[in-house]
Amino acid sequence: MQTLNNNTDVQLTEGLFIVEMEDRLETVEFATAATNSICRDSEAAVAAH
Amino acid sequence: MENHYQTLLSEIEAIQVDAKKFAICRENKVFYVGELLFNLVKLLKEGNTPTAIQQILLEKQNINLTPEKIEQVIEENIINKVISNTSPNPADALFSSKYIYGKARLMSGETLHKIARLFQGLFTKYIFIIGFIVTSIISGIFLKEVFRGNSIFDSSMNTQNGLTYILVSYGFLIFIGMFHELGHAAATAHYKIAPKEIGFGFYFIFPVLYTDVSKIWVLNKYRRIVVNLGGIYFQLIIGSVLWLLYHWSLSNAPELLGYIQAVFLTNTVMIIYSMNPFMRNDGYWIYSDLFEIENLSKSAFTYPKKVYSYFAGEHKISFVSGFKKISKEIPLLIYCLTNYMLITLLPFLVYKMSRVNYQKIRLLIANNWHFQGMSYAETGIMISKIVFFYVITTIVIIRTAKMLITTYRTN
Repeated sequence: MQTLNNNTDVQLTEGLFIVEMEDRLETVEFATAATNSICRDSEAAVAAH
Repeated sequence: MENHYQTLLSEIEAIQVDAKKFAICRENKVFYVGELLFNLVKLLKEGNTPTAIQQILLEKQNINLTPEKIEQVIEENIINKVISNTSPNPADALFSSKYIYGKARLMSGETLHKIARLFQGLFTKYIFIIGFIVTSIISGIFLKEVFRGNSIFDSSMNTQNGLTYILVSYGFLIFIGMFHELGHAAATAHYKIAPKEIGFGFYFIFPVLYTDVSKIWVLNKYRRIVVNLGGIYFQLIIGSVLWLLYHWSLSNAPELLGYIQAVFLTNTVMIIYSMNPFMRNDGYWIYSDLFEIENLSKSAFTYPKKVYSYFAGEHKISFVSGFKKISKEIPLLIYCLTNYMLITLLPFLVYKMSRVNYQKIRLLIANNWHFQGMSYAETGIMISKIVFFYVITTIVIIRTAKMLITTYRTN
């Protein structure tokens, strides 16, 4: 069996990695945004009493 | 000799992302790989045998890989990790795909692709740049017109103005959310990648709409950023249409003004929420792509461990997770510090809120379960808010603790 030379060792280290990319789920959160503004408004309404 | 790898590798693609980045993908799953591994896969897919590849690599790159070594590399990396896709690391599972649960498909990939293609022209280079700037300016002007001198949260949308406003806003929320996702899908289609479904699910406990655009990892960073901005771009278009409608209504249908304002407010608040980089919203992906920090959440959580390993001289840092260019390290460090700071602030927030809530509840009991000056409906909202706060906090604490424990136990 052939042995690896120095050049190969370096290239192996640099060139053989594999990284799994995380799933890309582009999300939009649609309840909290509105709930937040409604709650703030009801608080403001209460404060105005 | 027939190359059995050709058949085995037929279901995976090898795509060059940019000058220095290489990707291997299978269906919707993308892996970034080193150049050598990328070339090995390409040569095998073209029908070369490991013995032939040994010669090619020796001649072209002065690399000597034995056929046995090539087979071992392909077996360990491609067969086990990409084709079988068995992720032995539980931390990977936590960070990579499990963050949205209870998924339900609302629109199939096929239908979505058909609709997305109708809008893909909006992402032609100059149309996108000019369109984004113009719609941003219009939305800004509208915001100023509607909320003169007030904060954007001080809208006229409250319980006193009637439930109709709230219902209209929530009804439009679904429409706006779908249109937002369509924006991402149209951008994806513009770059010749078929978008996957639009679905509904939960992120922490927040109900979200999502589009699966995992395949865009094979695009260069600027194109990925355009896809990330696609949702906000479409919401800005809605904002501009609402502005036109508002001005038309001023003289033609003044009774509609309140509704338009309510919808515009909801739209704007959603845009602002989308920019949050600490949840996997648009802001997260923009930050990740802009600074080219892949798997940002995981990288940020494990950063202190990496720094420790580096300074403790444990030599555990591999070339992949090791330190890279300073232009990449500083944004990651800032993100990591802010992320941990927010986590640290959480107990203080819970403490502070609990003190306020304790006073509120005491007052409530003393007043016979009725806040002074409030209707029962308003009291109900107030109590729900308190309960909601503790439910969210508990889930955030459990999820964060789980992530930290898993991260530090593995790797």
